[in-house]
Formats: sequence, C-alpha cells, structure tokens
Amino acid sequence: MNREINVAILTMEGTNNEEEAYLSFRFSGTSPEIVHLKKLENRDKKLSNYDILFFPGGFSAGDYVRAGAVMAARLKSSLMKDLEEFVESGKPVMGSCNGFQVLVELGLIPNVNGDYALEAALAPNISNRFEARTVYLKVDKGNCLFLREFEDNEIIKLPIAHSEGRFVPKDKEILDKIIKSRMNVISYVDSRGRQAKYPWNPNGSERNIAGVCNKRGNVLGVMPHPERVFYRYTESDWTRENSKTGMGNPFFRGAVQFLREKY
Amino acid sequence: MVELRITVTLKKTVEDSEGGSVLKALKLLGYDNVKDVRAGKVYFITLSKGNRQTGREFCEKLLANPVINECVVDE
Repeated sequence: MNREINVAILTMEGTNNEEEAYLSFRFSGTSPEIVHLKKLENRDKKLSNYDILFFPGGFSAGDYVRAGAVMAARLKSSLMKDLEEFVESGKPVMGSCNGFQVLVELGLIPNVNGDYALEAALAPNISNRFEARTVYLKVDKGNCLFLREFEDNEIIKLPIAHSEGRFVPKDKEILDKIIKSRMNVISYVDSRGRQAKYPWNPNGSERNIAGVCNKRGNVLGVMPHPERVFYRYTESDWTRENSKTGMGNPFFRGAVQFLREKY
Repeated sequence: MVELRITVTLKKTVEDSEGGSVLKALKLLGYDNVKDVRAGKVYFITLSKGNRQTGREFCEKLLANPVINECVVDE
C-alpha cells in the first residue's frame, strides 16, 4: 500500500484510551482519526473508507449493564453488516480492554463458527477487584497479523486496568476450538513464562487467556493495553533499560507492515 | 402502561465474585447461617405498550449475555 493508511479509532461516551491509540498509530506512520460512534451511525463517516479499525479501552457508556454491552448493542443495531464486511475484507481490527469486551459482545471474537454469534463473555474478575498493574504475558502468535513482529513464546509485559476481564467461553466445544486453532494468542504467565494462578492470572480467565485472535488472523482482542506502552517511557520499570521501544509498539508496527505488504 | 421487572444474574455455573464478597462480609458480621449469595441487577422498565416478550427482547439485545447470564422477566 503506497497511499496513507487510514485508521478509525472508534469512541463514544466513556472510552478513554483514544489519545494513546491515536498517537501509537500516528507514530507508526499512519493517518489515524478519532471517530465518534454517532458519525458512523448517521452515515457522516463510512467504515469502508478506513484500513484499520481500533476499539480503545475505557468505560464505554459508563460500563453500565455490562462492560462493552451498550456500545456493542448500538453497533449491532446499525452497523453490523458494515463490520462484517470490514472483517471479511481482511482488514485489521483490534480492541484492547473495553475494546476487547466490545469485540466479544459483537461476536467478532472468538467467532470460531464464523457466524458472529456470542461465543464468549468477559465476566467480572474472580478477585472482585479492579486490577490495575503490569502483567507478564506469553505470545503464541499463530497467524495473528498484529503479533507478527513478536517471537513465538516471547514473554512481554503490558499494563492492565479492568474489573471485567475473565474470559469465559460459551462451552467446552468453543474452548477446544479456540485452543486447537491457536486463537488464544496471548496468555497470562508468571515471570518465568509458566501458566499460573492469581495474581499472575489477574482475573481468573479460562486457560489464562489474555488475548484472542480470530481464525483468519485479522481481528485481535486483548485485555491488556498495548497502546499505553508504545514507548518505553510509560512502562512501569522504564528506568531499568535504555530501550526506547515499548512492548506495545510491535502490535501497531505489525498491522502497518501487514497492510504495506499486502496492498 | 406496562411495568416490567427484569432480573439479570450470573448463571450458577459461573463463579459470582460479587456474591462471594457479600457472603464473606455477612459472615464477618456474624451471620453464620448465610450459606450462599448470588448478586445481580434488577431493571424496572415502564413501557407505553408491550409485554413480557418485549422484556425478553431487551434481555437478548442488551441486558444479558447468554454465555454467562440468566435473565428473568416479570410483568
């Protein structure tokens, strides 16, 4: 793709990570735009004019009802067909934290059966607390385009901040399909890369799932916040090393390089 | 006017951390007879017209995620 890459960062009342996402995409060489949900609903903006769609974190609609439920219900009622077309065109779609909750409520993740039905939920943390800290994660990138810059089994650290992050699949069949298709691309681990219980797994997610990519590899939902650590300076232990690149950086670089190569 | 009461809870198969915290707190207050607590949300919705079926549509479209929630509609 030789032309500029247009990114839509979708917001509504209560989202609060759009600035970090905007800057992460901007410093990755794209042309991001913060787009309010209403602009898409009333057709002032068209989803098909964008190359990447990003659902930021925060508390859309105040997290009332369930985290992400109101935003997802509004999208479903007016834009589901556009969203499906966007996903099926192979363009990158990512959601972090509240964005992941929206993707799950929309049925875009995990979507193992390909019919956009609800196959999972992000339930309240087992600890019944708002968990806000840095966690260790293992990347099993599979074919997920956002993770192509990582090494397989690479251990990374990203910040989390959520109270509803416990990944619950609809049933064992859905979970088995997620595992078999290597869609559980990011898992909570301890500092040595082993799957472990709380506090390493901050929310009690099934199989320590922290991030899920769809089968095709172009839709990623993650509970942690890559956009908050695009640069090293915002990582919690930033004084310990001289690297300038944050651990969230490769997510954005991966998506941009994918588009540059493919189109 | 139709008044609906819609109760949304976690399914019994899903661990209810809020209910667990309330259970622990009640026991700490000395209520040893409390055996289980399930937390949930109740919505009181007034409609100009509609019925229980309308409430079930609300559950399906917004109020409950069937993967983890039960949704009971009373008129």
